[in-house]
Amino acid sequence: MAFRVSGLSFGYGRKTILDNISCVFEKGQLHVLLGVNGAGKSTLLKLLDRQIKPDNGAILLGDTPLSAFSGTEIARRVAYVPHRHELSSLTVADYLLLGRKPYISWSIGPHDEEVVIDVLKRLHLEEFALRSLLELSSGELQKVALARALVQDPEVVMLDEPTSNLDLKNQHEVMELISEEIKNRDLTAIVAMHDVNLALRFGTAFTLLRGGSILAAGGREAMTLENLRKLYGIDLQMQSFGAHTVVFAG
Amino acid sequence: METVKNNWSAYRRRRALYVLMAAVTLPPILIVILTSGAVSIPFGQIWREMAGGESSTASLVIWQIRLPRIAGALLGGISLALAGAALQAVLKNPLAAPSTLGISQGAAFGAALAITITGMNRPGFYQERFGISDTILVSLSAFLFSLMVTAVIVVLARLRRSNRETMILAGVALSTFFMAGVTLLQYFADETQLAAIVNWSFGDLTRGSWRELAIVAATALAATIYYFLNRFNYNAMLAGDDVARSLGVNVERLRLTTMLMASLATAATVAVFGILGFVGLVAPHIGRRLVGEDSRLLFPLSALLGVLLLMLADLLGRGILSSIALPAGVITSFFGTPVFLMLLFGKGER
Repeated sequence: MAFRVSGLSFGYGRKTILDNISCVFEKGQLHVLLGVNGAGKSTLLKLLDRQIKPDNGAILLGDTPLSAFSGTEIARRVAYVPHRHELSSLTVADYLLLGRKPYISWSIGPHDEEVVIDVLKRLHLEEFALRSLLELSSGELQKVALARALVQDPEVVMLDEPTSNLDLKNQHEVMELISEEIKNRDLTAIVAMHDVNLALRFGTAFTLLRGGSILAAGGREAMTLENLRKLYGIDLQMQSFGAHTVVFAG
Repeated sequence: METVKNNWSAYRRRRALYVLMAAVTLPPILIVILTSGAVSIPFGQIWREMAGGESSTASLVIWQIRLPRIAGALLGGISLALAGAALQAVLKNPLAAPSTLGISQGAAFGAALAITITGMNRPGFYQERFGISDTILVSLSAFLFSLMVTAVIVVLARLRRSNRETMILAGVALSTFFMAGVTLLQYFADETQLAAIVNWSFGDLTRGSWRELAIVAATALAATIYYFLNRFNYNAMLAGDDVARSLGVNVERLRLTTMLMASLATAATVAVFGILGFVGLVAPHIGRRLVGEDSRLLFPLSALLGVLLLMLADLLGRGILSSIALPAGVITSFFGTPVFLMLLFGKGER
């Protein structure tokens, strides 16, 4: 078990974002969070990373309450990639080095640099190592952001809409990179996204959020046409083409 | 793998070279300051005169005038440039600096207010009553007002609508407000006070006594150690608040403590030397052009550039007019303004 959430509530002022939700995120899965804008996907990710604290409810990371960890301890276990990336003129290699922050006590060691170079290689980003973040395309930037999270050597990586600004090729490349890391490194991913078809293609577990509550959760069986129609509130069709299932409006 | 590693090290060495270059530029300028002036002292005699205590005119000039100036440039340059670099890092605003946010002007107003109030009493009144000397009172008041400005900025930074531009505009408004306050105090001041207050609005490196310099040194040291210990946290902030938070950085505490440290160091500098405008803005900006935003290089380079700028300003102020020496603060303000405008309207990185 990566995360177990029970009775979680959160709101800004009077506005309730998440209302008494309970769910589990199993290890080794690519969890997809689906829901319309404002359904609480990003908020749930930030709660799981303890960037914000819940009003009510409990989150267990493994067997330990999330609140029992220090910030650094969480950072060694959970990595987070936001929807929008803040740019700087840092080079890609130096940017990735930020991911070693939870492990740096006094200074950066040779091991930290080796981790960075290893991840650069794994994600085929070597040629960008000394380029400034300002020179990257959105697809490259997204991969670099993912690489920074992997440099943290986490158990769980959380990504907020990692594919929403990308072209078709880059969407698939990014999702494939995430899938590979899960397969090869015993990683768990929780990914908030809007693209139902991409979710069906790469997701192995699904959590459907609607109006601050969980509409459905589980494996592929949770992704029924009925659930998706309810989730988005529009008429949808589902069609299978060989091994792939496609959802479209109409 | 090896090539990436090698290229990366080479890249870092290239960047570090700028810091080294700035460092080796310092000694020659230092020697020029020590040797030139109304009393010219040959280079070969510097050590002998310094060792001779204060027996000759030359050694007196070195110990009482030139070394304090050098110490002033060192401490003021480091304090202000690092304050600027740190403020820019936590506020994510390349235009943030002690003088653009009004922190320096708040300190100047605090100093002017204390000068006016202490001047209304007979000398030594507060010493007898509270055991605080007038000099300390002036410094404390400078610090208090710079903190007030900091508090306003902290509140403004939390407002949703605040962005890079509004923050600087607010700083400009605060600066104007406090400088108007200084002018008002000047209006009511007698001649001695007026001279003291005017002095405060144009920073002069010669003003510090060794005791006052020790106070500035203490705050500069405290702030520098704090910035140094947080260098990786400042780097993490480059990736955005949420990423920094997820990397284990306590963003709110870092921002607040950094602003307090920057105000403390600025206040001490302004209380002793007066306003040395634009050094805190320009030094980190030039530094960023040269080595980028990695705090591990940017902070030391900014500190060195701050010192260099102040030393050059001091030398320039002495060289422009034959009859009188212009204080360094006048020079930095004069040359800082066009640079500031270039930053605002030129094509910067952001």
